[in-house]
Amino acid sequence: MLPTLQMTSPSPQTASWSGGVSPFAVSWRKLMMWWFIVTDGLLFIGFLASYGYLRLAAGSWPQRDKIFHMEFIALMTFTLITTSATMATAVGAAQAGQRHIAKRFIWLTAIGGMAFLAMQAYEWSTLIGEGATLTSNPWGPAAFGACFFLITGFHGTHVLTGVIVLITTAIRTSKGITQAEGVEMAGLYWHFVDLVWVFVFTFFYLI
Amino acid sequence: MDYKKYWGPWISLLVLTLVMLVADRAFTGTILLTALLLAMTAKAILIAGTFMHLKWEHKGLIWTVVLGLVVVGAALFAGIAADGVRAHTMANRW
Repeated sequence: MLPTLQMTSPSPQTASWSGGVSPFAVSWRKLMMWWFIVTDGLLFIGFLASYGYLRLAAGSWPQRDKIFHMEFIALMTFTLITTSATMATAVGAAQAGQRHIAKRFIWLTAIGGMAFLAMQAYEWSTLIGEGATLTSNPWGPAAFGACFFLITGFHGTHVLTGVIVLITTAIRTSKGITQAEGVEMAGLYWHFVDLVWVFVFTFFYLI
Repeated sequence: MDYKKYWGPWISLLVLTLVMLVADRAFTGTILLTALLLAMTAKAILIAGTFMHLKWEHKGLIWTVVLGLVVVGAALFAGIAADGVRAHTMANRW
């Protein structure tokens, strides 16, 4: 016979934390995804703070409108914001049990993500063609190139990861393997990638 | 399915981005910086709040995520980025 667990009623103070319940009123998947987002967000905060240090320490910084084409960066931003809306629609459809609509919108999101990556590849190759490297660039302090490639590169890697997650989720959704919660988790990650771009766009391209 | 729920924030995000780009052409200095930081914060709140569903989550989760990122973020910026000013002054002393 299996030993029975001692079932004394826990005190109100420890009840939420003594196991078997969810103190944050979410599933373990969602909680872990949020924990991951916090730590990953701190990585980008670290990058942006270091960029702030390097830029202030350098004293002068390249004039960005001579380097970046703001219309193009605006298009990249528009693309990423739109994929966030398509992903939110996909999550809503999955939760409403409309699997085919969900699948379609996940694919749209993945295509938007790939378009963003293509534009970033074009931007990178243009700047590399003009002589920008990790250690030097024709416009000013060497730290500019390091910051640019490191920060946009890390963000781009997150977009690439997101696209892979989205394609996997789309295929698994159409097969009925991934349920609404799985779509929601992919969505949380994708919105986070969009959220990071809000800060990169502001601190790197506008300020 | 209520599409407005997802495409309403999308319009707000696009308008805010446009505001940032226009502000960039129209203003300089402190006004520009304030406008950019305000619009950026509004966009972040929109994405995390509605798209990531955070505003409907348990208060404990909201505070953990927001305080975790904002407090540590502010500390990192104050501790690392602000030190760049000192580094610049030191380097140009002689």
